[in-house]
Amino acid sequence: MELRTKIAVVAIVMALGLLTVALDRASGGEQVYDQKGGPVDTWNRPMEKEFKVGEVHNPLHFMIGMAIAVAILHLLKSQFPKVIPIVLVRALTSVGVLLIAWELIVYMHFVRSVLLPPPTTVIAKLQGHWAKHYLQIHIIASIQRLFIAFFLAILTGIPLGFLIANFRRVSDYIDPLLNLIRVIPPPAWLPFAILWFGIGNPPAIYIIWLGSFFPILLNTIRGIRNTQQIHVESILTLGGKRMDVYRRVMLPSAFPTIFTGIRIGFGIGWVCLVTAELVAVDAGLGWMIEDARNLLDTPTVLGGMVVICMLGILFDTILRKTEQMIVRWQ
Amino acid sequence: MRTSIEENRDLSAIKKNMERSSTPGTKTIHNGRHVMEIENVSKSFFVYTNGGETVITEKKRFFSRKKPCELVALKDVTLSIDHGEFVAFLGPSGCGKSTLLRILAGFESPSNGMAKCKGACIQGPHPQRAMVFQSERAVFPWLTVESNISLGPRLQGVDSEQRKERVAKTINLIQLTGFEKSYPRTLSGGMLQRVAVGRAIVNHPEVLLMDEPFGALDAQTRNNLQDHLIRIWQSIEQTIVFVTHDIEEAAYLANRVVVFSARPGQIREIVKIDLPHPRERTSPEFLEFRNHLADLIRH
Amino acid sequence: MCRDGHELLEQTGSISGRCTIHPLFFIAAVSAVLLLATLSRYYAGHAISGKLYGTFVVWSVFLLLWEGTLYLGIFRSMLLAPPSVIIAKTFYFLKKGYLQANIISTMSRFLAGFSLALVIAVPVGIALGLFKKAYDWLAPPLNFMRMIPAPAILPFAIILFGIGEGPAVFVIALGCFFPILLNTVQGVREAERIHIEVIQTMGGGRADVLKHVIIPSALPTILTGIRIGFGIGWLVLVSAEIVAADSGLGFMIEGARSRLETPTLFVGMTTVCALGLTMDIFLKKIERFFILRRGGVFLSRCSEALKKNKEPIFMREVTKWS
Repeated sequence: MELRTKIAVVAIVMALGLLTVALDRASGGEQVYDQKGGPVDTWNRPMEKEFKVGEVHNPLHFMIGMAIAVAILHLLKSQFPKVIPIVLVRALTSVGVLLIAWELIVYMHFVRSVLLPPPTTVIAKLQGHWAKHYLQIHIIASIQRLFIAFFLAILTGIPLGFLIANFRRVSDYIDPLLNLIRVIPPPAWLPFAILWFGIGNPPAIYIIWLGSFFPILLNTIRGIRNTQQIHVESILTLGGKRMDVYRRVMLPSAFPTIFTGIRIGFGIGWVCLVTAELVAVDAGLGWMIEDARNLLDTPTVLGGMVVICMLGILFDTILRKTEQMIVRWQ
Repeated sequence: MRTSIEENRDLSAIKKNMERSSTPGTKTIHNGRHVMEIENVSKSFFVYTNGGETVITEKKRFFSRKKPCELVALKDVTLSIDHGEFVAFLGPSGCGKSTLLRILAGFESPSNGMAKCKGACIQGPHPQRAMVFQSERAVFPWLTVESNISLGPRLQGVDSEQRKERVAKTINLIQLTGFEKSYPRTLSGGMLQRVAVGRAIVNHPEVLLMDEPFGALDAQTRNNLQDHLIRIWQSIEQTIVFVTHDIEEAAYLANRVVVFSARPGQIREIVKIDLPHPRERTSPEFLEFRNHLADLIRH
Repeated sequence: MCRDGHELLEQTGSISGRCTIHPLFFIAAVSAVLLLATLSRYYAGHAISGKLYGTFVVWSVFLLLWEGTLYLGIFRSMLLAPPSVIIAKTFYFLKKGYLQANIISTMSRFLAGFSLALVIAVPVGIALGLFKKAYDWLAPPLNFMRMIPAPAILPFAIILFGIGEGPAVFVIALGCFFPILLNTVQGVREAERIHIEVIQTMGGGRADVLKHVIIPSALPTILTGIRIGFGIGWLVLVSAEIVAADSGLGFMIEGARSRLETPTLFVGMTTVCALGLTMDIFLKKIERFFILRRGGVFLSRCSEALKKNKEPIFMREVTKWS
């Protein structure tokens, strides 16, 4: 499309938007949704006393703003194609369209807002939680236990994997035990863990450790077992002894596989974290979601889900980038 | 039928080799002529079939219901190698030349007879008998070219000043200056084999053992590397034992070609080639040697 | 006839008297097995391989320690149930049909969720892999949604569907959906361009390309995705049942915990373990059937060896339908 056409499209969208806003303001109403069908107003409570942003955001403004943003993004992309990657544009467009559709569905009362609160409400609720430091507490609690358990899994998994891969006796005696424990999904241990450790950090850390441990262990074993014979023979001809074979050949050559195991282990640990937090703890993102469910506070439920999702993406990206940096030779 | 070679290629056997070390002639006085002596070396493998699974082992099993089949890889090989020689082991596939090389390197021990390096019996791998493998992937992919080459001296305990000097000299010799910091994945097959050679010669070995090193490369790179090898051989007066199945290669490179016959592996004939280097592949003398070798192989 | 440390026997006394297993009998039986294994290993000429012997030793020692410490009262028996009681209780549940009902409930939920995911993910994945526009526009949000762990959706699902079958099946389906989808898309995109050209020269159109090239070569990757989805689905199933169900194994385990009935808890966990093992073996057999039967070992090795062509195939290029 030519530049003129694009500017025309953006201008028309903006004009329509302004028109709708004007009509909305003219018909007079800041109140967003009526309570048709909604049993409680816990989510609709005006929160002006609690945070400075104001009430729940106006859905019309949200929708129009998103549409304009998407349009401008496309305009920019066509003008500066090299600066803005097309993947980003497409991603943001899809997300934007999805959000607009979501808002629209609830705005037209196709779905009851207690079942599916619109993005404006979710964002407002999250802002409220953030202002009260409620969200931060739970995020920190979750991250804390995730990292403790994850590092424990690395510290136990890699040495044990090394021993199992190298010494047949160890493998013979420990393998049967591990094979049976591996089959039990970590959430099945939850009641057992709660029985033993009570409610709080310990059962959650145990479950997360169980989840992360096995991928790391299995990948370490696989990586070390895949040590190539010519590498071992090469280092022997160069004058290496047993320790040199372990340190200079086995571990470096197994490292990419081990890191993949770490990444998979993190993913599974993340899932186990949420599961454990639904029942076995008294603080954390999972607990926050479950508590909100009990109060039928759906915006917090959805908001919590979004926060979990974004944290997961953040950590996964960090892990991938670390992998690319450390394993430069692959 | 599945075949597995246990004990011979098993990691645990390699570990046993690790414990052994060889002291190159500290006690015995060698007369200064022969760098390597191979005396009546024989090597047999035993094949056990067990209901669909075939296992090839080095030693006979003590508890076994069936008698094994004996696979004779080498039979009564006697040879001696002098300082500065370029010896080629030539023969068809399966004639035991690679096995003999591995015995010289120390990865396997002979069933009968003895192999000696500078008067002392060979017991295990040692940088004195450095080896270059057939696959160019033997170069460690997680280390740079520089780190790969300096690994040998580092393991020997050479201090870093001397190490840097040696490594620089070697890189010059193999003509890879400028590639010190590159990783193997960015290098071509020919360059990787040069790194492998450099990694071996930086330890100043008594003898350089090469197991069909140029077999996996294309013809042009192969000729290129053959010339490189001759140049290196002449400049540092290195003793080289070169295993190949390519008659042209053996005739082009070596000044002594040991021709093996297959099943059982025995020395058929030793051909001395005294043409000067660099050799012309089309000159009549070269072709005469080449045809002679081809005859030996074919019959 | 029992010592005080073993007061749980009282609880299982309600089982018909024949069904109880005396702890000393159990210890004697396990020791006998261990002795037999050791004897046959050392005197019958290594009749049992090292690995099998290791299995025997480890499990026997483990079971002996477990039973022994509880029998002697070293451990508080509230936290652990001895193996003899667990075995007795399992038989009791089997006799009463309680265990079977829970197993059926769990498995039906799992199969429902998993097949739902399969039926939606595979066609969608194939479509996404083939049509460039669809992939370009839908891949980013799908990659985004993939990172939501399935149990996090559970509370939302409970709000939508209430406690019972709904949230469990929904969450399991969602959990299995993404691995299968991603692997299908990847498998389809990795099909060889040159094979398509071969089919085209033979006069084939879009349907032929689909049938003869894309689906066979994508099959190994799709099966890997199914296997991963299976594993994750199993994980999600148990967690869904613990939180949000009113029948099934997870519910049984959680209920036993809240009533402090430790033997039942252990019975549940061992059943879960046994089910998981069975499904593992079953899955491997299915995978082997699909891959080997169609000459797929060769196919999968081929497709891996020849995967130099990085450009995916798009339907636009095949011009006619057949």
